[in-house]
Amino acid sequence: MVSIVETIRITNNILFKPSDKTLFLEKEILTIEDRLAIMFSKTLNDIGIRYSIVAGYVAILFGRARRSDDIDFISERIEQDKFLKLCVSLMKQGFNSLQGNLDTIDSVKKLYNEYLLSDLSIRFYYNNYVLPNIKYRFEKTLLHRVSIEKAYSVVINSMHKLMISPLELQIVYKLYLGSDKDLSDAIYLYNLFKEIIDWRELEKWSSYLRVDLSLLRK
Amino acid sequence: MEQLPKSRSIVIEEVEKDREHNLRSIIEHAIWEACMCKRLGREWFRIRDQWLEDSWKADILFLEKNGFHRAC
Repeated sequence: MVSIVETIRITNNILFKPSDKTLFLEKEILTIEDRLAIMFSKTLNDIGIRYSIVAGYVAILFGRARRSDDIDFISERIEQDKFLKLCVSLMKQGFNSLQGNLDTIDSVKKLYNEYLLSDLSIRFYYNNYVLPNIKYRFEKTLLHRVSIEKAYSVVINSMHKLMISPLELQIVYKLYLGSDKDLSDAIYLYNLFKEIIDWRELEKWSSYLRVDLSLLRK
Repeated sequence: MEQLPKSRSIVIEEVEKDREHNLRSIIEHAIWEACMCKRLGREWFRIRDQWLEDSWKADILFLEKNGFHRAC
């Protein structure tokens, strides 16, 4: 049970607990994107792999009215054995990969060596539904590492826990990318979470990426 | 620097103006969405999620009908 005293209400179904940067979300329907994100996150948690969800799904998770064909996961770099364990667990749940079969060890090793170690993403699909899918890769850049180290927790319906990239970093990064879709996501997230956004963090990341924050003030 | 022919500069001016309008429209719509989400909360999510689920099911049906439901 979340104590109301230590939380900030964003909407009648989203609460924010500043002390541990946790967002609590209550919703009636779990979409396919939510279900995939929850299953994949739980598997990573169970195996002890630190991760963060980045990009479009962060905005979709908090109500943006758009679809996405993938959910982007970035994890810490793990050894091959741990990756094998991850694949076994994913396969048991009905996942497979678009780039190789999870049921053969050679194929899994190939995914690890030729994709993950080359900083390429692997796509995992669920139960023969190729869309949407999970896009999984190892951390490579400083921003990836920050996304994981300073991740926010999201608790859906008091039972499912996801880790997401810090909102300030997501907003600035999306402004930096600059496509129509990215700008919309950035402006949406900023306006939804205005009360809890840390401007110092926004300014810090905007100076790193040389992003103009004036769009947010419009 | 070479001067652009008048007609070309007019085209660029039009495109820039259009880009500016498009940007304004994107900003307005994103603010409207955030505002609706704040105001309706749970109800906004229920409507949005129902739409996402229905459109996903329609996609799956379409892909199955056309033989694209299984990964290669």
